[in-house]
Formats: sequence, C-alpha cells, structure tokens
Amino acid sequence: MGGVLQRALHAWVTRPLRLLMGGSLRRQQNLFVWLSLVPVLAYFTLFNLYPIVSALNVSLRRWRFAEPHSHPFVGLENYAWALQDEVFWVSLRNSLLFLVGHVGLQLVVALVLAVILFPIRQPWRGVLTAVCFLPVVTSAVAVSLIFRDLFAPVTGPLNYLLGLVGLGPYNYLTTSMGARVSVIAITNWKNLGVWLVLYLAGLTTIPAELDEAAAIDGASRVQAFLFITIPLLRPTLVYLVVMGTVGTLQDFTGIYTLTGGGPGTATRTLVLHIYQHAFNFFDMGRGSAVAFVLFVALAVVSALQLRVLRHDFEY
Amino acid sequence: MLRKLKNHSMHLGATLLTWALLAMLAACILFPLYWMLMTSFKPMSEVWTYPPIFFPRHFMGLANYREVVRRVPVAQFYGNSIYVGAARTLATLFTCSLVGYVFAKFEFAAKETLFMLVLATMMVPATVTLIPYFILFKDLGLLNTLAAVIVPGLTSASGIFMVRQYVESIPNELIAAARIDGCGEFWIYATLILPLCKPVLSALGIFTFLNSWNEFLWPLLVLRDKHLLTLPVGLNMFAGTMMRQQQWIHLAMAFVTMAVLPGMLVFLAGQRHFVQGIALTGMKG
Repeated sequence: MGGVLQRALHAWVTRPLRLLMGGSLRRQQNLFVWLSLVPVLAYFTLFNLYPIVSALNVSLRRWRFAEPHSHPFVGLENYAWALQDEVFWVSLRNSLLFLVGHVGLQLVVALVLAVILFPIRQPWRGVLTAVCFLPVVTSAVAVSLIFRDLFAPVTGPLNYLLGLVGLGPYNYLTTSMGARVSVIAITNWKNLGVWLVLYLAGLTTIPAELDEAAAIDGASRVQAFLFITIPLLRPTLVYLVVMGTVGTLQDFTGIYTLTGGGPGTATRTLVLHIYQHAFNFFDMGRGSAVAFVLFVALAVVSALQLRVLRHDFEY
Repeated sequence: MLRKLKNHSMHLGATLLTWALLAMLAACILFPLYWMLMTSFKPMSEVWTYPPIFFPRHFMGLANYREVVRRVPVAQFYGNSIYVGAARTLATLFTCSLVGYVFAKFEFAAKETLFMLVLATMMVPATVTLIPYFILFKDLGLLNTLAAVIVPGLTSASGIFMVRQYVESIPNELIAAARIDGCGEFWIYATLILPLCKPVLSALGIFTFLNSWNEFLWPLLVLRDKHLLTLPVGLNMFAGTMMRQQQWIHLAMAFVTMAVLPGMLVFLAGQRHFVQGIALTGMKG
C-alpha cells in the first residue's frame, strides 16, 4: 500500500517537478510549452469545436425538454420543418434587411466621417472619436431602454423636436416599418465608433505622398479619394464588411430589448427565431437546425473573406 | 490678390461647414445619453409630459437613485457583474499571455497547425454554441450559477493572437540572457514577459471586462434567481418593468445611468489602449 502511494507520488509529483526544475534546457522548454498549451487547447476543443458537433447532433434529433429522456434520431426533419415554416423566411428576410441597413450605411457614413475627421488636429480628433465611441461601450439593454423613452409617441422628445421643424409625428415601435427603421437607426448609432476607428486606422496606413503626387498630377480631391484612397483601403473595407456581417446577423440583445421581434414578426431575426424555439418552446432540435443554417451561412462569409484577402496579398 | 482672398474665404467656408457637421454629429450621438441623465434627475411630475422637459425644473439630485437602490438589489447585481467580469478578465489575461508567448517564442511539433486551429475557433459564432452550452451546463448541474456565466469566457483566441503579435517584437536575446542566468521557463514568463506585455494586456483586459460587463444573452439564459442576476439582465428585468409603468421612467433612467456609468468610465480611463486595441485587432467592444 505504502509502495503504491510512494510510486504514485514519484510519478505524479516528484518526477514532473524535477523535470520542471532541472533536466536539460530543451526538456524544460518542451514541458513548459505543453503544460501551457494542453489546458487551453482542451478548453477550445470543449467550448468551440465540440459545440459544433453537438449542435449538428441535436439538430438531427427530436430534442424537447418536455421529453427529457428520449432524443430519437429524426434525420433532416427539423431542417424540413425550418424551411417550410413561413416565419423562418420572414426572419431571414429581416436579418438580411438589417444587414444591408447596417453594413451598407456604415460603409458610406463612417467612411465619409473618417475622411472628414482624419485631417483634424489633436486633441479634437481624439475627443470626437471618443464621443462616437461612448455608445459602443454602453450596454445594448440600456440603449434600448433610452431609445424606447426617446421614441415615446406623444411625450417623447424625438417627435417633439421633429414637430418643431414640421415633421412627424411618427410611430417608431408600433408599426412594422417604423420598428424596422428604428432597429437599423439604433444599430448604426451604437456601432458608428467601431467603424470610425477602423477606418481611421486604415487611413493612417496610406502614405500622404500619394495624395500629394496625385495633386501635382492635377487630380482633384474627389478623384484622389476615389482612385487612390478607396483602392488602398480595400483590406479595411473587406474586414469591415465581414465583421459587420457576422456581428449583425448575430445581434440579439438590441432587437430583443427594443421590440422583442415585434410588432408581430416585423423585426424578428434568425437569432430571435432560434431563441424562441429553443428557449421559449424548449425545442432544442428545431432551434439547433436554424442555428446550424446560420452557422453555415456565417462560415461561407468568413471563407469568402479569406479568399478576398489572399487575393489582396498577391499583388 | 482677389483670387487669394477668394481661396481664403472658400477655405474658411469649408472649415466652418466641417465643424458644423461634426457638431451636429456629436449632438446626435450625445443627445440620447444627455436625455438619460436628465430624466434620471427629474421628479415624477416632469416625465411623460407634453411638451417634454429637456432640463429638470426641480432637480432631484440623487433622490431617484436612492429610490432605485431601495426597490431593486442593484448592489447585488453590481457585485455579480464585477465578480464575473474580474474572474473572466484575470483568466483571459493569464491564458492569453501564456499561450501567446508560447506561440511567439517557442518551436514545437505542429506549431502552425495548432495556431491555425486556435484562430479557427474565432469563426465559431456564439449563436451556434448557445444550445450546446445550455445542454452541457444543464447536464453538469450548473444552470443558475455564476460559474455557468464565467466558464465559457476563460480565454480568447483573438487575445492569444494579439499577445503573439506583440511578443514577437520582444528581442530573443532578452529571453536567452534570462536562461543563461538560470531562470526557469515559468519564471521568465512571469517576471520578464508579463511586465513587457503591459500595453497589450491593458487593451485586452479592458475589452474582456467590458464585453463581460455588457453581455446579455447567455446570462439571461442560465440565471434564474434574482440574487444571481448580472447588471444587464437585472436592468432588463427591473428597468424594463419600470418603463412600462410610464410614471416611473425617471427611476428606470436612474437605474440605466448606474448601469452604464462604470463602462463609460473604464473606457474613458483606458481610452488610448482601447482605441489602439480595436485598431490592432478589430475586436468589437
């Protein structure tokens, strides 16, 4: 008995410790490398790779919380349900609408703003960037609560201010159109800072001499912008589109707390659709099927990014 | 002379236009936050009025805040959020600095493959992991615990990437010198690499903490007991209810202000690191 304990102590404590403290340099380094890597790699496997397999597995089963002990394999039944469900297509359409409304607008608005801000001297550029960044660090729950107050139909300040210049009043959150426009507007308000900072970082990589040379060659500032700045910003643009796409397609908090997907299904997105089936109806199978469709779509977007970026490195 | 004058006035006009535009932008960004703050200082009689009141006539000071703290366990929510945020941040800083350093400065079997594998995990969207996590934590019996909120955020692939990029610029001679002095590998990491990584770890720390501070969906799914809620979930539950009771909007906004102020202060204090970090990695706040 004592021998076993002694041997175990030697194998699990004394020997590793001796290896760690002494031993050849090479051996010590190898030990350090693998002691550092293995836990983190195991963690990634459990929390990033296994969930994909698990999601696929669940999506191919009838998996309801009401029936906790049997999850029979049903093949593609959940996918068939998802594609036949009208609300799925409505959600998909809304997701794409918000995607275009966010990424499309930010691509232009944030770029124009970055170009205006770029030549402004410090500290003003820093101050304005910080101001634009405040909404980014504000919790999306708080943002929705604030805007629900701003958007109040009669007593809200926004309708009052628009009324002063002869516009409105508008129904922001109670009509389909109004709710969709509101979601897009608030998403843009909240994320402007991120786009701005990334554009500014992209602009600093463009050598100033290029613009000067273009000016000497007689190019107007608009021409220099269109034919020099924009092509050189391509890596930034590609990155922003992918980041914006992946982010917008997964946005949940902002919409859930602003409209809850309503009125009706007017602002319901794929993520809200997943949430409802998995966590309100507790049908994990159906929820996983929709989630897996979204995963494949996002993987395609990411793969396209790699393609485009690789193309960039070539010249 | 005339031409010069014209050029000058055009330039002035452009400058004025630029600043007018920027001022308008700043107003659009700041007005909702201004409205939140002002409403939080109003008495009940000044919310839900027509025309709306833009500056409180009877300034309530912190009375609304005290009222919120009396009705809602705000301190508990704060405590939970700080606990979760601190645990995730410390773990992330430790794992990312260690593994980032290993990937930057050591040679070992399958290094490139493993690194690509780590980067590939960044492509796994949170939406796909939700249901598997939920089932996993349910099976582990960890639903409705703060551990369930903390555990999925113990490390970050983009953090490892950030640290690796940074450590690669540290000269190998420094590390070699420490080895000649007989320092062990972990000792070199702890006393040489960690202090040198301070800038990149500041950025990563602020990111991780703010992300955790604002995270909503996952805590919403796993937390049930009132005393376990993190701030965003508590905010949604209680301030959301106050919002529906229209005469309590001033209380809701006092709660909202309490919830967003720490994040803004952390951001303003570490703004330089933060903006640099975003520009470096494109990580979202």
